Amino acid sequence: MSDYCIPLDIQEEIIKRLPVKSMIRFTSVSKQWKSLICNSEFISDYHICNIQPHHLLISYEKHNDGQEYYLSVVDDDTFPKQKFSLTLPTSPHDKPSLIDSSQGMLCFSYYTCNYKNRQDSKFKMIVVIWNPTIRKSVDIVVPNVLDIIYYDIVVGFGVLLHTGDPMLVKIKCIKDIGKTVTATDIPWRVEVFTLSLGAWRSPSINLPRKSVELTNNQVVINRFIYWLTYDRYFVDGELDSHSIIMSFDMTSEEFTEAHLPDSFRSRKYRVSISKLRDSLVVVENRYSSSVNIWTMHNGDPKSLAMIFTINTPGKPAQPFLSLTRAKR
Amino acid sequence: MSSSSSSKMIELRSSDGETFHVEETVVLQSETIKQMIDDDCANAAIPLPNVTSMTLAKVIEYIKKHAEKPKDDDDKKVAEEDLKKFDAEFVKVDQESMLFDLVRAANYLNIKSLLDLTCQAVADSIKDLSVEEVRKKFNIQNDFTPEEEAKVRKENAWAFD
Repeated sequence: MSDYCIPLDIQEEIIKRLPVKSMIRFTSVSKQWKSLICNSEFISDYHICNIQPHHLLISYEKHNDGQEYYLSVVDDDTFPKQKFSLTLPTSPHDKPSLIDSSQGMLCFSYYTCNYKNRQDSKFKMIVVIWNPTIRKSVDIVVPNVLDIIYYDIVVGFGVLLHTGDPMLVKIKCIKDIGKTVTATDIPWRVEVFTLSLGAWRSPSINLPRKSVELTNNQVVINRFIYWLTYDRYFVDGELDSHSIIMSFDMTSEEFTEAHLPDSFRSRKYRVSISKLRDSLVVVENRYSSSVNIWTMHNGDPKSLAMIFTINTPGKPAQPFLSLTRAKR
Repeated sequence: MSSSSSSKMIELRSSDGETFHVEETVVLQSETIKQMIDDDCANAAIPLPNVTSMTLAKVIEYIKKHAEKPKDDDDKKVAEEDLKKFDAEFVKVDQESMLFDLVRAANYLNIKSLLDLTCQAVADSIKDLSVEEVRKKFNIQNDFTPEEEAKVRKENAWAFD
């Protein structure tokens, strides 16, 4: 039996080569194994050594129950053969909506009470950060959501690359800059939450301009969270707006605006954002003529380039937002 | 195989006193031995008190195979495939204790690729085992109270399906 005595440092070498499910099961081998496997350094080391295949997330609604379902598809040479259906850690009654996915983690938000009745004291906004690989989720209550007659709440999500720490950034946008007389008196509110800290805090550096309105169309790439954003202004007393891209650097906690070429100013076209590997994708839908696909790198608007156009003469196109890499 | 004839031979002595003669270029894959040679401690036979002759013979078989240099690019691809096959066969040992001995030897001699290979082989062999079987295999004492263990199992119930 003494032959089988393996020092702990070698046991660790063996454990970190196990698949996730076996590793989680073996947390009940001994206290030593449990503390080793649950150690944050060990976990980040495991992530570096075991590069997981890239997955694409697909959501769909079933006609018979109106509920949303999620499917994860491995994006490699086998695409689309390896599929896994995901069962959310929330109740379907909560009607959770997906914020984004980052580093294998998914983030949803939902309201605990009737969305219309925000004055109800039970009204709460909950964000769920979920790691489907280890079947663990955390519920986080978003603070200060009651005073939202004048505001929209946008919550961004991303995972910090070097620490694997999930981060939320909550932004209150003024809904209607025309009607809100005291809009300029109402401070912009940005609050940041990191799972490691377990609390919300307010960074005060270069907050976004009050006249911009962030949408829920967010994309996270590396350390940046991007939102499709409307820049609102008055032209001859009339409210007008056009699309820009707002980004938040999760490391420096700074906001940056990226302006799009003038062609994006036309209100006739619909703009949305998505991602393709490490590039931001800007989809410009010119309804009955074409869909233009642009990419942007590292949040730099100078890198914006149109990569291809899909001609849709006479047929309004609804572009899908997931893109997969072409097989070579 | 017989590259430069000038390659120096190094003498290794196993825990049970057997000696092995290996080319220096081959044996340098072991960081531990490389350090000894650098420190000029390799003039006499290098004693390896933690490695039996049976295990050492296997380790030498491995490092010799991994020291072979392909002649050209075409040969390189063939050699890579060949090496993969060799590695897969190498860890198919009759006795499991041999695999554990190899893990220990790779760790002691600090041969990273061999440690990777053998640790992965052990991981593959235990991944479908029960918690009890793993404890037995590694000779680990269960130090959880029944309540503590039940709690840990409940938290991760999905992993026991």
